Amino acid sequence: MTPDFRRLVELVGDALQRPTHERSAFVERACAGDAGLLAEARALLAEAEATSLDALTARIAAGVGRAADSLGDRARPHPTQVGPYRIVGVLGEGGMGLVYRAEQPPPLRREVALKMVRGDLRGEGSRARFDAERRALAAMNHPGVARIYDAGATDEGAPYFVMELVEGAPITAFCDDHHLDVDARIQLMVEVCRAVQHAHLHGLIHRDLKPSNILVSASDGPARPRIIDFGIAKALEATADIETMHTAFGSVIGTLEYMSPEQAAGGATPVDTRSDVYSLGVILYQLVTGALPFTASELRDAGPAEAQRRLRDTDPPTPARRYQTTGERDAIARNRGTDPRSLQRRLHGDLGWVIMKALEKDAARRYQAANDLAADLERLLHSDPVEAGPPSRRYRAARFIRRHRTGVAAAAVVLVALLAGIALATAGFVRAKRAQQRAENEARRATMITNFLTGMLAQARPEESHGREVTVREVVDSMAVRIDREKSFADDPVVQAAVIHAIAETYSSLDRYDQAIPLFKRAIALRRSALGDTANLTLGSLGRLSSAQAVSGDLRGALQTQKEVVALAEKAFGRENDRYSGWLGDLGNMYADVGDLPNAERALTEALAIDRRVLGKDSKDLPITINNLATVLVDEGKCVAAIPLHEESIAMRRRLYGEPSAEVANALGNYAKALTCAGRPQMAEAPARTALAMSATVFGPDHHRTATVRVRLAEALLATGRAGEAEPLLRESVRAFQAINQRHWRVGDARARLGQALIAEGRGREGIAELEIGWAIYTETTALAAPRSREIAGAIAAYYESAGDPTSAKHWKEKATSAPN
Amino acid sequence: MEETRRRVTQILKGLDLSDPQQGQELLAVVYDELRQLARGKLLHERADHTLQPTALVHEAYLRLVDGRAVRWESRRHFFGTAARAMRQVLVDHARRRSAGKRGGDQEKVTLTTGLGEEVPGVADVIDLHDALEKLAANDPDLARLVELRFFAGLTLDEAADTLGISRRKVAKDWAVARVWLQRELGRE
Repeated sequence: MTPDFRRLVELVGDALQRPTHERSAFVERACAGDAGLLAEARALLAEAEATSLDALTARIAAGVGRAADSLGDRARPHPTQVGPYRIVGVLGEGGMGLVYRAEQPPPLRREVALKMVRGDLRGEGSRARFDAERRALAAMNHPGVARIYDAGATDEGAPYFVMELVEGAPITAFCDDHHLDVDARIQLMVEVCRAVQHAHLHGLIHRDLKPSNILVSASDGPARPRIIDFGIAKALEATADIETMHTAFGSVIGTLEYMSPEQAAGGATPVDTRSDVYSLGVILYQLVTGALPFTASELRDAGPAEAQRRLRDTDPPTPARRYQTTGERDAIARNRGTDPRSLQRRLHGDLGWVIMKALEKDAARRYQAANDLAADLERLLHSDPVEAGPPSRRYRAARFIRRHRTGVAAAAVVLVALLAGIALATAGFVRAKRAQQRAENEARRATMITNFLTGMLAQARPEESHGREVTVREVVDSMAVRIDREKSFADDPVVQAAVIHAIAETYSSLDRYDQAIPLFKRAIALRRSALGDTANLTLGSLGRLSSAQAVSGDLRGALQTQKEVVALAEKAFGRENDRYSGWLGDLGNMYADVGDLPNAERALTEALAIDRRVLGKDSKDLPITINNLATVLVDEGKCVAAIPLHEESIAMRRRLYGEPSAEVANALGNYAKALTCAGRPQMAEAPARTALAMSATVFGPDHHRTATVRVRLAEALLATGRAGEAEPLLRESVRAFQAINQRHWRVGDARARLGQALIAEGRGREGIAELEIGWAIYTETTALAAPRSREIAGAIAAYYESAGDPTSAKHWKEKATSAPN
Repeated sequence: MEETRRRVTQILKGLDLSDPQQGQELLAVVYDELRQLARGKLLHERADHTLQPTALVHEAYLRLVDGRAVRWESRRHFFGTAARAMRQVLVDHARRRSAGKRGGDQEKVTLTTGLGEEVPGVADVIDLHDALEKLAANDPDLARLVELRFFAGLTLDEAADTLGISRRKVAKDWAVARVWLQRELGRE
């Protein structure tokens, strides 16, 4: 033992116990002139301040643990036989376990890779779950995904997988070794994305996409990427009750650098196909810039909690920025067959935006499917405009709002004042005998305020107001919070309900349905108990709730609410009046949206019959009901019957509203659809074009109602053999619908039509991808047995039939003719 | 097994610290036991769950030592030895593995999984071992403390008892030891 060293240890130990700012003085005193000792002490203290000792402890513990792990592996001698497979060699050791080279039993005798995985399948139910995953894995067949031939467990319960023996280097190494340029790398990634998409359609998520899982070989012909280990992570979940990635010391196992924020969070956060999209984004980032968005040391040195926080909250540098500040710019550029300046330039444009979109922290803002990413990448290769864009171009991009001090402040003040006004007015509220009447008066006042606000806000179109809209929303947000603490409301549920309804209404008009819906529900609950089930206001809130649910895509919820409304309305008003018929008509529409057309027709026919009896000639409601019934008839395929109804409704609306008007536009669009459906598409084009022009004028070109009309025109064009003209129209509409809700049924419907257009243009591969995605989205909220669902399935089946894939065709034909689920 | 247990207990009971032969014998026995345990543990571990060396050491203790027969100080001695044995086991194994890699695998790129993909940011056990050797040359007690913590998983209190020092001192030493390690391991 060196006496000096002991002294150093004592010294530093004491210093570390003191607060940071005292340490320097302390060691100086204690060293008493010994310069060498002082220098050593200072160096150690600097180290202590620069680092997290706990993170270090975790790192070391992880290293020891990892060593122990592999000890366990090698401590066991290699088997010569696993199940029916003969072990002929060792291929290596991965994160999950050993990989052997094995031989399939005769007569096949093909060489395969057999992966032994750590785990225990002896638990109850584990085997069944494992088998289910295994079957899903074996069912996949795609050139870009390594086949999983088989899986099983040894007698001791250790699981194993038998996979295609894939040759190749990790995609990053391959690209660097071959000095592939940026375009070639992008092209490779397009193939990877398509393979990933294929697996997603089969319900499999990879969860651990990273370069070492994507092997590329060019041994026979062009470079082909192959993805390995697909779905194994999921299959292994069967072996453990809790999927945990943390060791006792708290460090995270697995490749943090490629992990999506929601995966790193672990626990209850659901992981879906979009997590894979994120990982693809990281790989792309790496292929293009030579570096990772979050470096290994950034994530690991910080400790698991901090790493999670970083992934979730910190924005990584853009690819351009990362390359700019990296240390080996020359080498990186050389590996990409270019020079630093050109590479830097390339990274600044659309390529950077595409990558950043894949890396969005909020999964809803990423590309929703691997194919969407692939599509944008292909656009890059053809110098076409991409979907991704810089923040300022994005509609309702919450994080990048520019705050406007002027203008909106006024709106906010008004809102506050008005709501405060309600509070003041009711502060001195005295309960009298006709309390309910007075309450309804006050509530009526609130309704007027709401209408005023809604009207005022409706004038402010988002494209123009940018920050204006946001500041109002912030105010509404704070009002929503304050409402609970507002004492004067607490005593009076009726007023409280009125205010809550007003706030919900405001949220609705801002398209914040996630906020609006729970508030409507609260208002309903309050009104039910204070005013009764059948009070006007209660019904009003219920109606608004179902509306909000419908627009936000929760068609099933909307239907349920609406049924309730109709039943209550009948109780309150009887049948022979326009209030009842109004609710009934809305119910019919919702049935239609959910795909229950027989009930929709029934409801609307009844509603129309009542309306014809009780409404005057100049009623604006009559043409609405006519229009709605006609639409349903078209959906049912009874198009010929719908045509006279449409003609009647258009004539009425022209008289009532003039042109241009939203109502006429809507009616013309539906008329066009009916004509197309009745087999007269050549007659449909004119009204469709008129409707589109009118709609764009009235609602704006990006509005979802304009988008709906645009789809009608596209239908007519498709039906007259002009798929090429239909395609761009459909793409525009898809974008507009996606802005409301990525999973909206209209998105599914439009994408399916886009798929049909692409197929008609001869771009079968793209088209079938769109069709399948469209079907998936559409049937999330619409019954499988609904005519449109079946229609799409039928189109997919037809494609596979003509593409010479009878198995898939059969599969889809079943969906096209299935009985109701 | 029983035979081994008896022998180990005997050693611990009558342990003469100045007799290197006894220490070596104990080390050898514990070493073997740990390796056996690791092999047996494998099949029961869940996927993604790291094998805990500290758990192994504790289990080895239960199997090798008759707790009633030995004094408490001997127990401490066992852990000191076990920590050393564990460290040795892991380092030996790690060395064998890396030797194999450098020499052997002809088909460097024929893989179906990421071969040689080390988890970055994890302190390699060999590096730790080397750092500890260096530390031991300067201050063997400090090195032993680190060994007890990482390889036998003793708490600070248990480590303090094993080393025969106060709780306050062991806490201070633990901080300094890690700072020193950080500097040593940070040197590439």
